[in-house]
Amino acid sequence: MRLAALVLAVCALGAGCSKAQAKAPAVPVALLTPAAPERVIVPIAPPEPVAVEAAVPPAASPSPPRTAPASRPAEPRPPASASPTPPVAAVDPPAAPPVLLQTTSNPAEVQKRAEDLIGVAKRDLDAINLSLLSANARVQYDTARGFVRQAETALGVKNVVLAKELAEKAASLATQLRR
Amino acid sequence: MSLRQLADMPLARLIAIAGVVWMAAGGAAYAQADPPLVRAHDLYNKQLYDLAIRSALEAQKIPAQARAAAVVLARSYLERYRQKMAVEDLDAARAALMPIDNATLAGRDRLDWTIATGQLLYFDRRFGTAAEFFETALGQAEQLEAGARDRLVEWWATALDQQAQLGPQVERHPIYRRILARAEDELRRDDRSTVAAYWLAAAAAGTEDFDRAWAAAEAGWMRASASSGAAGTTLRNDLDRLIANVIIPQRAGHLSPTNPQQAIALLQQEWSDMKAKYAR
Repeated sequence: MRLAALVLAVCALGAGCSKAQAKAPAVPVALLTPAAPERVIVPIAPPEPVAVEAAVPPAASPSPPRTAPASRPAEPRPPASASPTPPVAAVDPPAAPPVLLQTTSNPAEVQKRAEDLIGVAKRDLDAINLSLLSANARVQYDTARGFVRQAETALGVKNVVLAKELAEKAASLATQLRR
Repeated sequence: MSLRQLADMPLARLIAIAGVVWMAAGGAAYAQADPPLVRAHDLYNKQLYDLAIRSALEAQKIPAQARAAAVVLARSYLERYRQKMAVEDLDAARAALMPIDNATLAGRDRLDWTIATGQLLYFDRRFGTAAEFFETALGQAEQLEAGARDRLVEWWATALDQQAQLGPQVERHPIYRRILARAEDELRRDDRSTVAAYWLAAAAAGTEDFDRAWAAAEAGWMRASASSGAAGTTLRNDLDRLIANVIIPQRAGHLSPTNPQQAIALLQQEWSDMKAKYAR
């Protein structure tokens, strides 16, 4: 009898102590700010060499031989009676820079290139086993997929330049991921 | 059960009953000492997101804690989404977060809601909108733990960078100018900020100011040696990638349109020389 009373008393005391501890105010600790995703650095393709040509004089209109170098083409002067031109009009235009030959300016060609790159990017991305990607590589993968989607959207609205640019980024990231 | 019956019990059984009573009392006391919301926060910080979600769901049943519980629930789903990439977690985070009227939240809960919303929008690929939320959170960063400011700047800049990368050229410069201005401010505030050092170089490149980008990358690389630990190493690695993949190709194109490959080789050598000369 005495033993039972002793055991119960110990239990009650133990529980009481626990409850006394429990009554301390419990305030949630502040949530830690999560780390941002890994930085995705989209490689820029090395620039193609640009051919430079000297400015070619217009061939069609034969002009009288010049006695002195002229910095601007001869233009028919208005008659003296015409309203005076403001001084600024008399300033020579800046010398024309060398003509840079553009590698492309054909929208159909750009569109074709964009479509090809989208195809390459999709093929590379489809070949990737997602379960093998690290979390950081997965961020890169998702970014590449995002570029593909945006490139397709840009093609849909016939913004072929943007589509090509986005497709290049997608293909570039996808190539990196496959390495 | 009377005391007499208890007294007649063998000692072993008595001790067993006492143990059960003790554990029940102790368990109840533990539950009271560590309510589900407290547990959810603690488990979130320990990156035990499955358990954090379970505790947050439990806490949601307590009306007074339901909204705060929804915030930590959403944050836990978002982190689990990052770990497992299961779209259901992203959907669950959205479902937890969207019904909350943030006007009913106060203090840290409200700030945690803002960060959660920014994260959700980022993963939903609404980068510009996400950046707005991170910017708001940055305005209250003094409420957060040490180092949180840099993490928020990183979220904000990464979101804007993604937005710029997806947009047409004409829309990129204003975005990168925003990042550039903040990176300058952050470096004035804390010249050891590795995040600001990176984004100063990246944003200058985004505005096509390649000389500035180069100088900022060099300065960042030198600063990184003074930064201890992983942050400094990450900064150096990221600057190496930025230089090699973005700044050198573009700067070479500007420096030598007719022979960019030669310019690339020279610039690569210049970067290597700088690293060798100023290595610490």
